[in-house]
Amino acid sequence: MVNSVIDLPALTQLQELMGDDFAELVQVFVQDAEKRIEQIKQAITVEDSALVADLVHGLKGSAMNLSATQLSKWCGQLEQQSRVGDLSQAERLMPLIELEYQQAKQALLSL
Amino acid sequence: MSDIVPPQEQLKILIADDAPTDRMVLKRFVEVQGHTPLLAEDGLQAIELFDTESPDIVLLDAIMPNMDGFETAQYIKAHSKDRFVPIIFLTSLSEADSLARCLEVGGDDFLTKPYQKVILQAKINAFHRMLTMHATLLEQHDVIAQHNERLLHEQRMAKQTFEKIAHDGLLSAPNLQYRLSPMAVFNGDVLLAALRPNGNLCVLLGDFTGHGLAAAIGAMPLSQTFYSMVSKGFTMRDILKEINRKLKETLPLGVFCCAIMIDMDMRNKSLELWSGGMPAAYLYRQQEQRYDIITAKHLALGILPAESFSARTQSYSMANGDRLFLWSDGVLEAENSDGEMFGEDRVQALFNSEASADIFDRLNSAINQFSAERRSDDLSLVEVQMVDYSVFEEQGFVVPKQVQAEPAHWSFMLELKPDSLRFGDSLPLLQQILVDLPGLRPHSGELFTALSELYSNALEHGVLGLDSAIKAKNDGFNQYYRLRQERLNNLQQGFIRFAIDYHANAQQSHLVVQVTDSGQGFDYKTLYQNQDLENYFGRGLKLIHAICHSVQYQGRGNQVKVEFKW
Repeated sequence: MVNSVIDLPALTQLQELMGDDFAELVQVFVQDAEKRIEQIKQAITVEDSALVADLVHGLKGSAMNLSATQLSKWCGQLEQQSRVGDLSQAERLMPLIELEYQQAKQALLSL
Repeated sequence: MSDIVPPQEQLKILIADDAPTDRMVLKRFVEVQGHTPLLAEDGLQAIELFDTESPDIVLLDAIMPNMDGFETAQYIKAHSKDRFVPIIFLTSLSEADSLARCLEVGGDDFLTKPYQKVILQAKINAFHRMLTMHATLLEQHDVIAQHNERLLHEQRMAKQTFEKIAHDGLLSAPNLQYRLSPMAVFNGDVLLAALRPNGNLCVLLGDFTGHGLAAAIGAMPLSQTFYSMVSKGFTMRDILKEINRKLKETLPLGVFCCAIMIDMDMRNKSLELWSGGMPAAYLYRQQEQRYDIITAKHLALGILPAESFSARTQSYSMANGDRLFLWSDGVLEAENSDGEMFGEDRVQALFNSEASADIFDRLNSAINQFSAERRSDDLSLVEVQMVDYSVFEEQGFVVPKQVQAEPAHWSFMLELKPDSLRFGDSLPLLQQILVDLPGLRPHSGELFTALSELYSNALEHGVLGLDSAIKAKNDGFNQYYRLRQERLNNLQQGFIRFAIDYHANAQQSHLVVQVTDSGQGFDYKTLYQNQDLENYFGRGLKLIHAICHSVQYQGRGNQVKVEFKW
């Protein structure tokens, strides 16, 4: 399960690059992601699809950097839809994103 | 090359991304490669850092709060001026139209997530090389611009200098018409005109091989020599010899000057002409309505060494209204749009058509029409008309004043002994001393002619005791000169003595030459009583009298004293 959440070989490169700062990177990722997830949920509530798209775009990018492949895929799906003003799937995708995020966070913190 | 400044080895790289993890990762990438990261969280921060820090490369996220990447990119490109600041868009965008938009706003490249070290490294290195090349290019562009500016400046300077030396001379003379490019000196054409002290008009049209500075370099000594020697009264031959010698010395191999020079005697209505390597000149006879074609007889100036250079001239008589046309080969070689040349046939057709006073204008406009839009800068066309000298005087063109002599008084004696009489023509020695006397040049030819006569008289009739009556007999000349040689060979004693006395003040120069020989003399008293100068043959007395202000025989006739004044 852990293996599918994080693309480990790719992450190893990042770990090497960041060295001692890797733990801090994970911390920053967690803070940023949690902040964004809250903002996305709010934006969905007020049906601001453009803001949803921008916010989820950022989360997608961060997830990609940390090799949270599945998370970035869910984010990408939501971004694409909200970019064209479609929030109909948001209610369904958001829990998936949150769940995937929690797993990714655990996996990253356990490294 | 070493003073070209490439971008620092350590680049400043601006990273603009609203995602903190991206900033962290990219910052680390950049630091690991030895560059300096500048971090911005949105577009507004990015342009502020761009303005204050002048980064070398910008990594730009497309979607950011406050000001997005597209707008930021446009701002950066608009404010880079001469600098080349590569923008690399950071993107997880996959839609084609978004990528297209990145390019539209000035993006130079993309970097997709997840970032890979080698790819980012490769891109930064590539842009680093581009920046270096761009800097080199700018530097070289500046250098070229500077060189070009300096070259133009130098040409302007050269032109000014040249114009001071070459000035207009007498190109505004009432009998001259010409067409010459304003930058002629740099296309190799030179037109010079000046009056000799005797009132003859000298004109020289030269065409240097080559263009630009090489041609201009030759034009300087050419015009300097021309103006200086013409005004001092040197003959055309001397002037041409000197110009040829100077150009041969000065010009690089393969550069020479085709030239045509004339000396127009407006009093005696004659023309002396020398042409080397120039197209044929046309002498149009107003009265007869026909023309002579005068072809070049010599090689161009600056080719032959002094000893084989020939300054032999051709002489023509001219009537008032007759016109001489000179041109450089640019006239014959003017091309039309089909690449066809104007050619000699068209020139002749023009001369053959009904005669009129405006051949110059018709020729000029025919060439213009023929070559239409083609540049025809390097052609020169000149018309010199025979007029009375009074036309010059009426219009205020006068012979330049002679250099005035400083007050001076000196004398010397030169005695030639048998060995010198036998082996050398010692006259040049004497001429050498006299030729530089202030103001003498215009008259030097006459003076030297007289001196030469006096010398022959003293030698042949005096020292050698030859009787000129021998010449009158059959075969007399041969006999005379055989005898002359014989006696010279056997000469053991005898002398010719020149006593020279020079006296000058600001108004006049006065030269007294007393020639004494060791001979028997002759009965000059009877000669002068009988007014028999005309028939007295042998001593060239008539000539001497014509040249000198006074001629006085003394002693037993072995001594003569002559006076020159100028």
